[in-house]
Amino acid sequence: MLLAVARATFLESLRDRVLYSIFLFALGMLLASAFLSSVPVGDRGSILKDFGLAGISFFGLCLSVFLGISLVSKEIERKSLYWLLVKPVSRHQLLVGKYLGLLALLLLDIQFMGALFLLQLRLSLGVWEFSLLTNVAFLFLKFSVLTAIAVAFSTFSTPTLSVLYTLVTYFIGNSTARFRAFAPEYGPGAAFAGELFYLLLPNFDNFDIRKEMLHRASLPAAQVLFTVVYALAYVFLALAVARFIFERREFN
Amino acid sequence: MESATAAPPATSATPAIRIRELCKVFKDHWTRKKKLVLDKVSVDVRPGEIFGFIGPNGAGKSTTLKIMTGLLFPTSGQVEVLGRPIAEKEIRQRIGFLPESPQFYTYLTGAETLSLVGEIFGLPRAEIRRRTDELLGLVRLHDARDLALRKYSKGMIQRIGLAQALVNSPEVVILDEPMSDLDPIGRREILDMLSALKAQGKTVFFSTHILYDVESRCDRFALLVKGRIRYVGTVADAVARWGSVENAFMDKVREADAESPPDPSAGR
Repeated sequence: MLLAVARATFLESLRDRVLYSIFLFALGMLLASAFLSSVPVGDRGSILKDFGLAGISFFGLCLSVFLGISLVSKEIERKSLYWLLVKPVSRHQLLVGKYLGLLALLLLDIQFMGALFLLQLRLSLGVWEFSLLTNVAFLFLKFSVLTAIAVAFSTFSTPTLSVLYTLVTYFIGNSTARFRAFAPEYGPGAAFAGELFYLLLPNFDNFDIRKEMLHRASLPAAQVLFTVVYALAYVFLALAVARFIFERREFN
Repeated sequence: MESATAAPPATSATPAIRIRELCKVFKDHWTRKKKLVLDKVSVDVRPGEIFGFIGPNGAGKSTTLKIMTGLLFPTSGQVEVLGRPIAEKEIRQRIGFLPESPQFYTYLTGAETLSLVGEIFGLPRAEIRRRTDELLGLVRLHDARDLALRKYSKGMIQRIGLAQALVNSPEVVILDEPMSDLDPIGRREILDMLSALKAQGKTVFFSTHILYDVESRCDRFALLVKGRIRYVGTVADAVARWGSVENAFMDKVREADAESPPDPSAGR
């Protein structure tokens, strides 16, 4: 039942041309390497890596936010959930099934972009940079969390507001660690806010391993395990909140 | 109001649908006033009958149907389908529902839509294929089985909507305005299907604006005006008393207007 809903969500979104992002990414990478052809190989490699990871991050963000929102709030607005809600599927099964369908799509999208990224680097630099796959996998974890957060927001707000809330969470989540570090300089109130944000919001810095990966081929197992558990915990929490609201929600 | 408050004659069988003292108050926002949309609505639908649910725009028909199907929660009162609350999954296993102006997944095909429903109901794969073929034939969409629903016309959407409500061979079929968006031929086809469902012993409950359909196809009907049931009874009784369902409708609407002037803000 869960898989039926997941498959339908996956197919619906796939056919809705969301994977055009892959082509845009490929185009961006091609243009970047064309512009960089006169730059020395060492600098070119570093720029292309940053550019590629930023590209995957950007399209992952778009996919998480816009599909995460279309999953629930747009469907409520369009009333395309009504017929399914009356079927013998519980509301939380519907929610989790849809999330899983979207996750499959996110995985497919990031896999394709990751493969294109490696191929492009191979063509430009002449080496396979397989260690970068760890960065790509961490980006997938990051956007799994963000998609769950988008789903949670979309259970109680309009599509536009859900997009706004999710983007705000994303940008704050990218700087909670820095905010926490600097906040005490601005007084005890700011320090408290810094701690609160750090505790409540996901710290997306945990998924950014560009610096760590600059000078090594792999990450310590403990760090990988911590990040996976951290992501799972946030996904679980966000979906639990989404379930709590969704089960009490009326559909007028 | 004589028939409105009196419960239908008791039968030995459990009502297929039992609505008791249903009230619904909408609270839009904390700044806006509350609005009583349903006021002690009570209706019993007997097993195996076609039951029409009529009323002017804003009377509360859709709200009633949404509470019946669990999309809205009642402020007070109860709804039971086949003797159990609709919140129970086992009961939803035995009903079919077509929402008003239904929206489905537009990129799925007709056959995929019915398969999805079959999988949700836990039907075996072979049974899903058989039911999909059978129902697509029944609603004359066999040729459009592999066409995405976004390419369907309004009438085709309504027909696939009826098909998805029947995948599980439900005992009770609840339809919100099933004849809207249909041309006279499509309307006639849906009505014939409803009669066929009755012949199979199923209970059919539908809301509509088309009073002629109620008069020609329903065993009984309920008339809802301004959130209150003004008449529940057989079509034959209404015709004997008022000459037609339309006359009964107009008479009861006038009666309700005399009690309180029409509310221009009513629109739900």
